[in-house]
Amino acid sequence: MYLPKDASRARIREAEGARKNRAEIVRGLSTGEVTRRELFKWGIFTSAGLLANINGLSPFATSAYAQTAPTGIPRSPLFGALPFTQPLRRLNLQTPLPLTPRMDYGETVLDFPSGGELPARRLSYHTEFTANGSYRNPQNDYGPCEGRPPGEWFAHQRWTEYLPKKAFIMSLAPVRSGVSFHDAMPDQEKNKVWTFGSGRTGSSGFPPPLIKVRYGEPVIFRHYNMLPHDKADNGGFGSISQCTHNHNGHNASGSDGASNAHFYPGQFYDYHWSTTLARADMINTAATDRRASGPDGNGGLTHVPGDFRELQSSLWFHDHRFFYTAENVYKGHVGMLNYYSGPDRGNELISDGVNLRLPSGTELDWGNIDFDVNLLFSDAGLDNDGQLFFDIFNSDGFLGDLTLVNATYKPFFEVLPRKYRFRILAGGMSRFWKFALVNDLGALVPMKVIATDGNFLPKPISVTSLDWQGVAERFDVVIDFKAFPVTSRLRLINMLEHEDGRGPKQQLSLSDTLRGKSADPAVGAVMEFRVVSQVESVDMPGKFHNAGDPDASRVPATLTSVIPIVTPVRERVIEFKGADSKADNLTGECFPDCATQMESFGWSIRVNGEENHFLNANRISMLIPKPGEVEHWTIVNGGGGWDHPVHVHFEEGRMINRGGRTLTALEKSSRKDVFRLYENGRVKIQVRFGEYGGAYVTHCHNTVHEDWGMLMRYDILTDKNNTKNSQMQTSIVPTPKPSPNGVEYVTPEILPEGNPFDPSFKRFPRPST
Amino acid sequence: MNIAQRLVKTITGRLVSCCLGLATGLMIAIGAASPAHAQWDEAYFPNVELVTQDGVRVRLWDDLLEGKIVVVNFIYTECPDMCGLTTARLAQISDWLGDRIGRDIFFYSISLDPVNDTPDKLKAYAEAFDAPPGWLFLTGDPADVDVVRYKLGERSRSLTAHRSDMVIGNAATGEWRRASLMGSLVVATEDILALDPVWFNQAAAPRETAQGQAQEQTKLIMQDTPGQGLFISACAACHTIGEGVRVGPDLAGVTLRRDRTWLERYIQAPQRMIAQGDPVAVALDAQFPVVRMPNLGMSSTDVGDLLHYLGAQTDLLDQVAEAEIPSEQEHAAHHATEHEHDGENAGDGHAEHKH
Repeated sequence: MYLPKDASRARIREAEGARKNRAEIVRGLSTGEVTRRELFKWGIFTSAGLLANINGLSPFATSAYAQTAPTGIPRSPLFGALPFTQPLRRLNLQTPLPLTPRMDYGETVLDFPSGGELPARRLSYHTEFTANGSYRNPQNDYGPCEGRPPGEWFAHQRWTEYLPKKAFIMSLAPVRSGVSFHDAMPDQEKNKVWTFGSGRTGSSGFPPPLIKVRYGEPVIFRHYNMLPHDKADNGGFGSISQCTHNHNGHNASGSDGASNAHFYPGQFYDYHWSTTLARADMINTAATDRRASGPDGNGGLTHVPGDFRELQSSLWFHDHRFFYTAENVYKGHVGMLNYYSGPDRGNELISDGVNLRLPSGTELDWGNIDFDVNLLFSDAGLDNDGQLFFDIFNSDGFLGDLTLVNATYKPFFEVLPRKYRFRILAGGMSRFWKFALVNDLGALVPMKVIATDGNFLPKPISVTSLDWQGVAERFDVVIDFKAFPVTSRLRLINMLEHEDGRGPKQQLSLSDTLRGKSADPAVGAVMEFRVVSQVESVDMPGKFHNAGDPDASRVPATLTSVIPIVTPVRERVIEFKGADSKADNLTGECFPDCATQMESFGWSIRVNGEENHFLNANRISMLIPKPGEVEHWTIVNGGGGWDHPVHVHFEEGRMINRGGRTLTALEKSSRKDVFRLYENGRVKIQVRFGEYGGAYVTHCHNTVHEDWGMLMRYDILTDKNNTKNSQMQTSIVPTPKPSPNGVEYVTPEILPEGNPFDPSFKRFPRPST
Repeated sequence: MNIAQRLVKTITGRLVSCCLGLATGLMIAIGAASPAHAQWDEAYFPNVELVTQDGVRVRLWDDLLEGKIVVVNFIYTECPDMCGLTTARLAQISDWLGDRIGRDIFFYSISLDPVNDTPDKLKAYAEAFDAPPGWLFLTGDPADVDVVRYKLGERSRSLTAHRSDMVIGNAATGEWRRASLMGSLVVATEDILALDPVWFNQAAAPRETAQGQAQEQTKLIMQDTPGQGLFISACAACHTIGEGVRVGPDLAGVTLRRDRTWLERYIQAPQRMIAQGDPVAVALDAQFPVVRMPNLGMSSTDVGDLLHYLGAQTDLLDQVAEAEIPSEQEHAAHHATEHEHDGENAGDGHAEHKH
């Protein structure tokens, strides 16, 4: 319910009246004056048995006390900030630090020549802390200095094989002074925003970071938690213990960041971002395929084992602290990650038969971003003082009324009349988007989609608007501004309307979007492109690019090959917000009848039609018993008027079908790691696991739903016959239980319906219809 | 429960309700370490009036929230499936938290069906779960309940879609979150206790693993054997773990509700602590006056093993509790049936029967 400010008094009066009506109806029902059937006839009761949401008549409609915006507060004050008055901030590009290997008691450790840092190494420093109390947290002296759990379970897997060559050190810290979403808006108070800063500084700011990595050059992401020690110093939301998920890198469980291994202020955590190419143990194991490679920095290639069809490009990283993810990410624990490879080089000129020469730039050997731009979309709500606001009591999903790009309110971006690649991330909590580009006249401008969720489509697909884009989904698009004269202005618009955070309400027509015919403030133009004659290079600051410069970039007709759908070893059915069966187990019949409403567990997940479960880090809902086996998963939306963007960690899935609904052009042959289900919808995917093991999760990436329990753990076992595989993950791993003074381990339980070793396991379950 | 017990319970309930003002004053002192955060204070929670199962009128902020650690779930007495189950599990947590309930931690079960749920009905419901005095079952004017419901995050659009977890918070520190009632109850209990800054800091204090012995990798998984032997030989005659009071208190959850240092001291020298006037030791002595807690001459290693075992057994009980959900459900259904036979229902079901 988005009500204009001046209507709030009327709205409250109306709602007061509605509450009285509602009370009378309920009283009438209870005394038998009216029947449910009569209410149904009057259109007040819905077939689902709810009081219809008309004029606030429903007892479960939004309370008048909460009114106005979907944030639960009045519309955010803008302080006079106008759209398209602030330039886009490019993400804050991080500089890697070199590492020097050294042998230390039979282990390879990596020194930081830049100094001041403990060497990076396979085992957590927590191991010694547990053994003899050394390596203490420098800020409080009673906990360990590293939050990574002790011992072999959380030792970096395949350490020497994927030995890090570079390191990134970042702090998560209260925001420094002078940081805002727009120059006209107030600076954020230090504990309203907790975001990243470079190095071990304890200071942070916008824009969010960008980290560039390349295949063949594994890195350490050393993350310092520099947050306050007092949990109450959080500005009303946000947890002081956090952890970072690399979404969706092919990494070991301990570096995936979603294994209940959050860490505390004063501690650091070394994540091993291995840049492993999936199927390294099965396909192209000798690293002879030139396409399976990374740039070597001198125009050549570093070959890596693995399947070139699994190469990834546009990833991101964000908090994954169970129960607090939505507020932590919203508060600033977010950044983007570009993976560079032989084909996706980030260089337009190198012509070696492998490089696709996509729009990027020419200044650097790899990773040019002059014409390859990360766009991190999010939505925010501000309180009356202009400070970031989050409603921790909202369980439907939290929506902001301000749209931000790279943490700037409705920015503009200057482009040359040439091809650009944009990496578009839906990085909010609950908001879905549908983006399109319009010219000065309001006509749609075509875009070429080249990748979904950081995986190349086999061929580029021309569209005039993108598919709906759920939370965490990414689209890589190429836009050619060549046809637009200098001074042209184009706008990126959002055509998808929300009424609440459960899922999008409807897609608007182009004309309704442009005319602002929506109560949702996030509908309409969100960003402006200005065609100009000159821009300064970000790859080579001080150098300028001009409108007449040749555009050497290409968008080849073929980008990659499709991994075929094959007969799976087993199938699974995973239902989000499953409703319990209406029949009882004893007789298989409903009582008193199947039309009678039953209560159901919301915000839960069930596997193969068994019991619903909420998030429990110590429960393994599915076990992946062996690397390399192909599985088909049917992911079902259990209903309830919700939509869920479901994220699978660690591996991407190839979409097979959507049950009765046809796949869109962008979905056919796509590989993704987030799957929108649609209301009452389902999607079937093919996945295959390998190379690493341990605990991972799948969950709804509406992070509010996730925090309220819609997440489950699955464990991947490594191969005990493969000496390259870590031998600590050949059976299930215990669950870390972190506290400021260190991590304990507890023994997890496994659901039989998810355990292929259990005699009752169903290899080919059927989804209910 | 016999009539006399009920009467006692009712009176204590009333006394507690009357003393809420006083308790609030104490709680402010406890929470004073961290100032209340502006965002989730009385400006957010409207001070509307609710009614307890004893008919006492209470204000949301002044009487129920201010300065307290609270656990709130939403129920209604005619709820077919979920409420009985979740309330039974909440009762388990309440048992484990022991005497902290009503002292600094308060449980509130708020009716989603205030028109039907009179204080009398809620009272019967509370007694069915043997709710201690610090656990209030609340109803009120539907409009007021709506506001409370919304503000505490129960925003479902229909009764049957209501949430089955709980919202837990410390109004003194402004920390609020959700916790599952269907997952691990040990985790849920720890989540509640962690809202208390004092408990949180104690939990964060150095432990023996942090200071002393090197641990083999395999030892990082719980080793229960030595503690189990000690429990059987030294404790089991008087104590159960999760099977109720035998001679002394049930030790399920004891490692959660009592500070570890206190447990170590008490097990090694109980009489000394009583003599020194330690309030918990004195209260326990008064509660179990017939047999006194002996000094068993345990070493600190023994105590460590024993506490490890007690903690692990509590974890195990937690798993059993999950496995036994159907029987709890039957239990709850049984109560619901009883209520219907009382003939007090005037709900939807009756309306339909009449037509």
